[in-house]
Amino acid sequence: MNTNLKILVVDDFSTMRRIIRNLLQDLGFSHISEADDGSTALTALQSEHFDFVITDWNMPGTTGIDLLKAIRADEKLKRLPVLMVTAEGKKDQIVEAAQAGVNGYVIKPFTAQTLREKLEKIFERLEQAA
Amino acid sequence: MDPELIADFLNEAQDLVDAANGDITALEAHPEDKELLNRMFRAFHTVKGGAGFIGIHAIVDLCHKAEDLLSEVRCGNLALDDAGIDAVARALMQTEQMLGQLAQGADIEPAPEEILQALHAARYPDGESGSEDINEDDFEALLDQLYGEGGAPGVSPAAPVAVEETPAPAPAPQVSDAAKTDKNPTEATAKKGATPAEAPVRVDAKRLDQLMDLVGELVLVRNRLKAQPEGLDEVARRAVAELDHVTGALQRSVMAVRMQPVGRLFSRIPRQVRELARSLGKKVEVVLEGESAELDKHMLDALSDPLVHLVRNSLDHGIEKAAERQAAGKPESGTLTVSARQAGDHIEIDLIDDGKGIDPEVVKKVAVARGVITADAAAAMDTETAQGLIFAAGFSTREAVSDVSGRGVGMDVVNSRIVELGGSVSLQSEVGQGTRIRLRLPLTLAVLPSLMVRVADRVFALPLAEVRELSSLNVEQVEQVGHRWQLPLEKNVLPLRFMRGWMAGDESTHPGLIVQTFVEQQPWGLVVDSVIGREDIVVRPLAKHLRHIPGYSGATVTGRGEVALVLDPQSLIRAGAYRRVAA
Repeated sequence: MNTNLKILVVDDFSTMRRIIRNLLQDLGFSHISEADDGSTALTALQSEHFDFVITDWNMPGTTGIDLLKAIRADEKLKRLPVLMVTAEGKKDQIVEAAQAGVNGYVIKPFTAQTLREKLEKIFERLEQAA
Repeated sequence: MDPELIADFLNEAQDLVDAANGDITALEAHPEDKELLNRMFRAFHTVKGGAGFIGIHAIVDLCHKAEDLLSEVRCGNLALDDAGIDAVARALMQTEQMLGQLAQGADIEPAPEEILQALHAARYPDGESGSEDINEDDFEALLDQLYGEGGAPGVSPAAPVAVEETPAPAPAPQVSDAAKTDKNPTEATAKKGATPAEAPVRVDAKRLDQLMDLVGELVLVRNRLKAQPEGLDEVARRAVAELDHVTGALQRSVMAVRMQPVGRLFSRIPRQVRELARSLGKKVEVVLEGESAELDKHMLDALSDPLVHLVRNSLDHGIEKAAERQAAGKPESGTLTVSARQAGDHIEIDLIDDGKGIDPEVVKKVAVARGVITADAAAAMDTETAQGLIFAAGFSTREAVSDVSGRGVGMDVVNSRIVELGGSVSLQSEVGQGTRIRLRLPLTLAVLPSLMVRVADRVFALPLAEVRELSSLNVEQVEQVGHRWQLPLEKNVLPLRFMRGWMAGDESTHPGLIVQTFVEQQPWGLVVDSVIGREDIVVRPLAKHLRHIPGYSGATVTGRGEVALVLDPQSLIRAGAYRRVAA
């Protein structure tokens, strides 16, 4: 996997951002930025290039699904892969996220290994689609 | 697991729980408030997420159940009844307890089954079970279905296939639609994000303590320089004056950093009252006032237990049961008002209940029965002094283990705790009308403005907040009444304690100055040999085996490098009074 990718981690809970950052670092990623909710994430995405977004679902203000919809609605950002972090794998929720255009989901808590598998799957599909 | 990560998690989780504690009370009044439900939901959700990574499954399970319930409610699929709110409140309390255990490094047991069941019962009133989970393959199939085999969102056009098997709870727009029509939220959110707020910085409390300790040391050095102006030339004197100024400013700034609103402390009260009222079968409303008043973080933490006990005391002994209240012509529901306000460099916290008040006769009877006072003393005692007996050591029975704190604590312990913090407790109670307990506390423990006095050849510090007046003494005017010395004033008398005599144990009179202070609303005069002046001191606790000696609350090093004991007028006067009574 290309560990030079620039990744934006979005979560309002700083502990969680740190956990995800640590896991990404374990996988060899080093270009990691953080945003504490959907709207700051969007500002960051519009001002700087990112290759990947990992976002929490539940955040105050702009939620993960709002952020996802905003990304897909933005001509410049719409191809950006988004991995949604959720607390559980409820079917109706995941279907909602898939319809909104999520590339993958991962259920908390997860290990670096799980995260790697999720990322690989997403990139596999993106390569196929390209 | 990285201990720093756990510390961070605890910090954030505690903030969330604090906020939720406030929200749960509001939720009772407005069980359908979306905003409140959202916040409560997110509190559990976030704590659960963090706990999952740290591997605390007991917290994950508990929070998950609460979150699941609240999720349904905020979506409007379920209404929260009293039992539901109750279940959430108990889950919150349990969560807080577990976080406390985690902080102490203790093992965390799974939450009591009854709490989990209560949450489950509220979540599934008809006994049904939840939505099924999706698996990896289903998700891949779903993406294939939406974007064509091997397609990906944002890259492949959305396939015109409707998703049939699962009805989405909210009408989710198709991706292609979203691309065209969802512009508005994008713009709105972008605008919102464009105004960057100054981000707060989290700092470990220990570092703040270090900072404060260093400032304390600096204050002492400054005091030493100020105390010996003779040895300094003009230039050095000017530099010392500047150092004095800067040290003061630094001290205030560091103190300001440690200040936190008392609301943090108050937010737990409504829930505590709720629980207690229910277990006691009483109806009680809580009114909180002045939550934004600020207090040193340490002070706030140290106040937590005493406040719990005072609240409990009000509900236990103050507010009556509904029937009793009605019979007395009062509203069925009692009211407990907890308010805070800043008064100079002190804060006053009042607990006011409209209960039955403290009957001095009942108190006297109990005090005599428990050997706190003699029957003769009781007979001669006025109302206020008798009511104040509830703070006397030995008055409370400690056999009863309170389920609030897990240990039995009497009002005397509350009182001595407050005094240890450099504060005082006062009481006003009207039989049948209610009781007001007032805690008066310095805003910070770090630096204490004091009056330095001399008794015999020793220096003592008296907290300036306790000093009302200084006056000269004409020993010839002093009258003796029994074992007590007093000074006749125009309208009344001022009881005196001759410090040199008191310390020597002979209680004799001597010339000196009167430092007037108030103890339990009563003026008292402490007679000292001379007054040195005002000094900001840094109080250090006494060694453990000296701590229980009445009359002293700590020690300090003066500007001249002498060790001075810090006097505590309250316990000083009380110690004498009870010694006399017992004799």
